[in-house]
Amino acid sequence: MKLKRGSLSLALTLLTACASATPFSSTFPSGGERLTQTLARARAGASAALRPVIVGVADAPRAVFAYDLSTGRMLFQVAAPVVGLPALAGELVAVPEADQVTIRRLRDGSVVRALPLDGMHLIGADGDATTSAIVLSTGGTMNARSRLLILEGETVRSDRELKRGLGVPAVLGGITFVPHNRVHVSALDARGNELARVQAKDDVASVAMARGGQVYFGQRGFYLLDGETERGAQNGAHFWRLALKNKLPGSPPLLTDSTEPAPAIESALYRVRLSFAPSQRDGQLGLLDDSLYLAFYRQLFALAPDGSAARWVHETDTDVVGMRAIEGGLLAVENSGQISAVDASGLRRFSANLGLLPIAVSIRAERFEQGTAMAEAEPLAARLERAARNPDTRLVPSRAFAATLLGSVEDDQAAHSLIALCSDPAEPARVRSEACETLSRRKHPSDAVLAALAVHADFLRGTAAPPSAALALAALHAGDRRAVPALLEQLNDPATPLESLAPIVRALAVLGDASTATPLAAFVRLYHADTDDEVFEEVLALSMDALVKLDREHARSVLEPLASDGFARVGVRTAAQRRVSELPPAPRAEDDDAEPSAAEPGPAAAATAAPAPDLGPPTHLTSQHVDEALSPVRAQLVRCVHDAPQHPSSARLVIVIDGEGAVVDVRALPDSVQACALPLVKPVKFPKTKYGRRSIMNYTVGL
Amino acid sequence: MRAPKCRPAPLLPLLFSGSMLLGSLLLPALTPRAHAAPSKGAKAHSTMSMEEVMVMLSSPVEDEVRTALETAAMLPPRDSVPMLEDRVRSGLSRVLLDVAIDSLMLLDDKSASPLLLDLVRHRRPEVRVRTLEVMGRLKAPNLQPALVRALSDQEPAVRNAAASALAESGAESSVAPLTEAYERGVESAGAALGKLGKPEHLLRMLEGYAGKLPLGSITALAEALLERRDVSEADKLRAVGTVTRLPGDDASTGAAALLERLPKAASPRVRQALTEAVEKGSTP
Repeated sequence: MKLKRGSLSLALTLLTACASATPFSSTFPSGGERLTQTLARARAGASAALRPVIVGVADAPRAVFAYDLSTGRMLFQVAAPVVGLPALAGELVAVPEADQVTIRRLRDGSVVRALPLDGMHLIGADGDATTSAIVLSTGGTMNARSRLLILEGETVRSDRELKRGLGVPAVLGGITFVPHNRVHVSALDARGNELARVQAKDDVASVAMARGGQVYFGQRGFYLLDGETERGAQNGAHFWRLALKNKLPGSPPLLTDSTEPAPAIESALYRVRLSFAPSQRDGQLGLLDDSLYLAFYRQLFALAPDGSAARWVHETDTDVVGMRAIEGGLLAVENSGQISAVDASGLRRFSANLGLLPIAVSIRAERFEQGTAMAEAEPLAARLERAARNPDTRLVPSRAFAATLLGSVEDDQAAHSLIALCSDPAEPARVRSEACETLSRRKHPSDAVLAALAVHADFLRGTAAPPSAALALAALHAGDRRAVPALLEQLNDPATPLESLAPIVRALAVLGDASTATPLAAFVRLYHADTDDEVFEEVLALSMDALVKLDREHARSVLEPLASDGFARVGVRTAAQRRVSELPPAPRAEDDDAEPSAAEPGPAAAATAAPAPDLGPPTHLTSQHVDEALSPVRAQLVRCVHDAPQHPSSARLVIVIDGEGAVVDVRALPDSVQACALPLVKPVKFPKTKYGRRSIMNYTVGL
Repeated sequence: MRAPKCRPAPLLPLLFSGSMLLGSLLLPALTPRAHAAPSKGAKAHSTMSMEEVMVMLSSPVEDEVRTALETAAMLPPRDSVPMLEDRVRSGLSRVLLDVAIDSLMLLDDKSASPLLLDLVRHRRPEVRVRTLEVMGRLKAPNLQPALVRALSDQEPAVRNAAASALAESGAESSVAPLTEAYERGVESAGAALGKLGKPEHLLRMLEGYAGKLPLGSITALAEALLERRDVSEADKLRAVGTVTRLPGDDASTGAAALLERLPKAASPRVRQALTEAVEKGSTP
């Protein structure tokens, strides 16, 4: 970003000219050179960072306090009927107390003055070394009233009531930047003269903030206030919008909505918050340390700006009642009074105690000397799993969120953690289901997934069935073909829950090959007439799809008998019929004499193919043997069925084969096919079997 | 073809109930020829040839398939087991699968092992239970691991069936897994152990678990001990004593259960001990 800078003399000239305009008037021009010059003046006058302090509210007895982080000293603790969160304004503190806002000195808590509320409440305050600005407002968007107070030192230079809503002000270089009417930010000098104005096009102007010598404002995102702001984000304004990929637990806002009333000081909203610091790098606006911080009671998360990944998670002993993003980490204050500085690894580097029990605090600090790490960094997955297992029931939303965040951790430990969470009946349903869902979406091949798929329920060992649905989908999304044998085992394990079967079959359909079709066919055959469950019917239909996909050549021989089996449930039969109808037609008789196509391997190709290992005769004949042996006459058999009286849609052949593979007898149903089929099948030679057993095989011929 | 094995007489009427009767009536009309070797106790069925059975197995009419499945049990296992295996693997309705398993039980042939090993993992627990009954009767060593595995089934009925099957198969090597199952509350494991275990070991178990396992588990083990002829009267009295010393009502309830099932030929002293325990429990 290039900031336009003019000469200070020109700025002063322009600003003096503007000062005569009525502040906040509807005719005041926005943007332009005034803004650039005002910002230049503000930056030029910016003071050094103020001392880092914590101001807050303690309970029992109710008191307001201020603590100097740089010296580790309590500046004051004053009993007062505090009803809202105090706001720092330079060397002053604005404290909502019963029916007034009390302005106190930061150094000792003594009262400078009191502002009656008059139906308003404290919206916010800010200050630098010389100037403080305090905003009170009724809130709301209609008929709003506000009061803006600007002080130099402790002297009020401007005290103005306005018939409009004002937002949280920021002070930089003695100039107050205050959002108003939700779309504007005006810059005012100490006497309340409006120097410049800007209009937001992409966001609500609710909160202004000064950090690192710049002014930012926004609500759902934030602008860097500069000469480009007026253009809007699409035309070059420096704007960063919060675009979350994961819903955050508690849905805390990025910045407060100044039209809403402030929550009661006891509200849990102070314990579920976001914190960030704006930063600019290579002309791009973003978050300092590329981190968005989330506090959820006792859990602190450092997140990627879109919330999709965790940098770290840190758990505290008591609720976090305030936090502040600082360079290289985060400052957090707990309900126990514990102050911690957490570094970029999520390790605590500084620890102190306020010596009282705060219920909500504001922190002012831009950077902080953090000391050295107090513990070794644990792998992120282990920390996230521990966070997900936190027994505090208030934390279920953030525990589920921790499980979600495990999805973005690529290592196998994360998969292991997700499997453990997904399988643990002791975990709340929300945490489990989030873990299972996240596990199922993982795209990284994982040994942990394979190992979990190899586990089967075992009553005596006390082993529960693994979360096979999520595991199957994880293997599927990772494209991990190594999972196929274990998936088949799970498919055939009666302890595998019914609802897991469909994901398993879907995974097999994608990961398997022609050899997978054989056990799948056995599964479909065995159960096709043995179900009274629609879910299971769906599993069978999916299995048929998988068969067609994995072994199109033999799918017909499996599905045709099912399609015509009167014992099968209608749904299963219909599913089989539909798949059969989608298969290419069976070869016709006249095709038998056709030349082999180029795509088909001819005898020469067969001769050059690698010989299959000779395993000797099979112990028994299978459907595949029958398919292969009858394939040369299949087309003629189809013709037999087609030409038979009564025009059956299919026929079933029962073939008795002796141990040497010779056909002993053939019976056809319906009988009308018998005469035609017998001479075709009788001469067919089947493989001989190992023990010379007679085999009786079924074969269905469909049209 | 070899002749089918002789089967225990009481099993036939139990297994081939109404459906078999229907088959018997239908068969002469359906099958005018007689090829199969005569089978003791199943003349009507033996009038069907294997080829006819085979054809009827493919019938779209349920009664015909049922008749064929039942008749297959009367044919030589060498022919009928592969035929039944193929038909079961081709998919049967629930009712027909039950009939097929009954036929496998009647055939009592180890060549059915591969099919049984698959059916013992069938999704329906009832199928697993029936399959385990067949497996127990076969007493085939190659089926033992599957029987032991079935002790870990998620369904209590299947676990109990597995324990009973192990007892029936008589493999002493299954005492250890049965003990584990007994400790985990598989009731039939007690009875199975009672049949397979060494008396001294069982008495120690009984004494060790008295008051720790449910009463049903304790009495099952004690009952099995009382039924055994190779257990001395002194040891049987020791078992009775263990039950009658159970805390609270368990003593008399357990004694009553044992008394009710006590073999008629049981020793008078054992009967007396149980009777006294029951009477003591009924005294207010």
